[in-house]
Amino acid sequence: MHISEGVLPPQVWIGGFVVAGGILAATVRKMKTDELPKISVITAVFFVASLINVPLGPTSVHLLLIGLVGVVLGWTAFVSIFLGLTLQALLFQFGGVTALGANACMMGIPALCAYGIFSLRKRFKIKHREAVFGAIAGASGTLLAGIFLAGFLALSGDQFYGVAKLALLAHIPVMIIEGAVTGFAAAFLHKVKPEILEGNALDASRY
Amino acid sequence: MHPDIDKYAHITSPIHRWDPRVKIAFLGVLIITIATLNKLPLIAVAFACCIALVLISRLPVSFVTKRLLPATFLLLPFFIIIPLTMPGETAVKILAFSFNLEGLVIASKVYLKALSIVMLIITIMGTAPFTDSLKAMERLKMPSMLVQMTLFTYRYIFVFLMETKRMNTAMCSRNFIKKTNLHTLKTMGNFVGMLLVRSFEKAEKIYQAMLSRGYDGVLKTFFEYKIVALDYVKGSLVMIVCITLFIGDKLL
Repeated sequence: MHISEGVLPPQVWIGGFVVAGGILAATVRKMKTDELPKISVITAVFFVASLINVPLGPTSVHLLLIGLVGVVLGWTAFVSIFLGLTLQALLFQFGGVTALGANACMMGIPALCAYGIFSLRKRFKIKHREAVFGAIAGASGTLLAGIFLAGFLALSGDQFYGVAKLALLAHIPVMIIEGAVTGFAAAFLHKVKPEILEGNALDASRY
Repeated sequence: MHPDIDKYAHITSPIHRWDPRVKIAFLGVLIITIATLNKLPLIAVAFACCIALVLISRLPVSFVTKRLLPATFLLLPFFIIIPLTMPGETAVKILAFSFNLEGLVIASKVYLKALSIVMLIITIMGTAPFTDSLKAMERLKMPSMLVQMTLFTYRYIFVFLMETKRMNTAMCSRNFIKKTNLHTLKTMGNFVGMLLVRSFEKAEKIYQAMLSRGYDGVLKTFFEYKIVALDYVKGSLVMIVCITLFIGDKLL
């Protein structure tokens, strides 16, 4: 789910860079030097994990894990997603260099929202709340990314309305898969290494 | 798909010999120029220039075409969707559908622009080792923090690719087969979770190892770049192309 090179008009992709740059500057300022290599290592995991294909009927889709990045990394999720997209553009030619800012907004902002949704779980006393809220965070992260994608395309002119609608529809099955995988992964992390989900995950790696 | 973009960085060509900083700066300007073009004839000229650059770089054609595939397939549906959904007068009625021919022009513009830019990225990234290109980007005043993180992430992608391969083999040897069902999703969720748990532990060890080798948040390199006059000559040629394309697009 990337916006490709050449689709967006200059005012939209430059706007994307401005917004992404603003969020990056705000989050990078809060980062400490010791977090830098750690976020990179975890970004590498998400990069590799997003290459995993999940079968969907006759075809297969690859994992996005937007929601899980938010759940695990919290505020630094945006930086991680920006890095992942940069590497995808440079190494695989997925997405694009000019569309990088727009793509970072499209996936990074939903990741931050997923983090917000997941941290609400503490207010609820229900069974399997990590799984439930993980699933909601994963699904809504994907849905939001779909809405952003459709929005960017619609902003680019009337000719892309049709593409925008189809792109949004294509997100529905992905949403279900993402929700399930994120829910199960959150439940697993809660069982095996609960510190990771406590918001200060980077400190939790100290032992 | 394998992240071996710099597989052919060791061969020689005028592009390979070009100083990475000058190369990235000037071809970067070309990328931005192409991204702002609006007229089909000029986009076609830009496309031809990009093909010429790829040929000059002597990167194997099969390598380049394989890397162009994702962009190629992702944008093909545009040729059908845009003409079918775009409102306009030049529509041709085929059965019950109105097919807008103007949509085909728009789709080909997007398509040629995308392929041109992707070819340029392959030329930039394919003609120097990835780490050299990143160091050059840092010299060009890109935020050092982001460059460093990209470098670290790039380094560890290969480690975790091996790790996933190992875990995959372990799952296959227990007769796990991916299917469209909840069990597969649960297994994939646990798989990603396990990968994360391992990486958190690894991240701390890596950081300790870096500290013990004197890491203090600044990237240090041993080699220096040397720019010769020829680097700027190549740069000016690219600049002339950029200006011609830009003015042509405004005048036409």
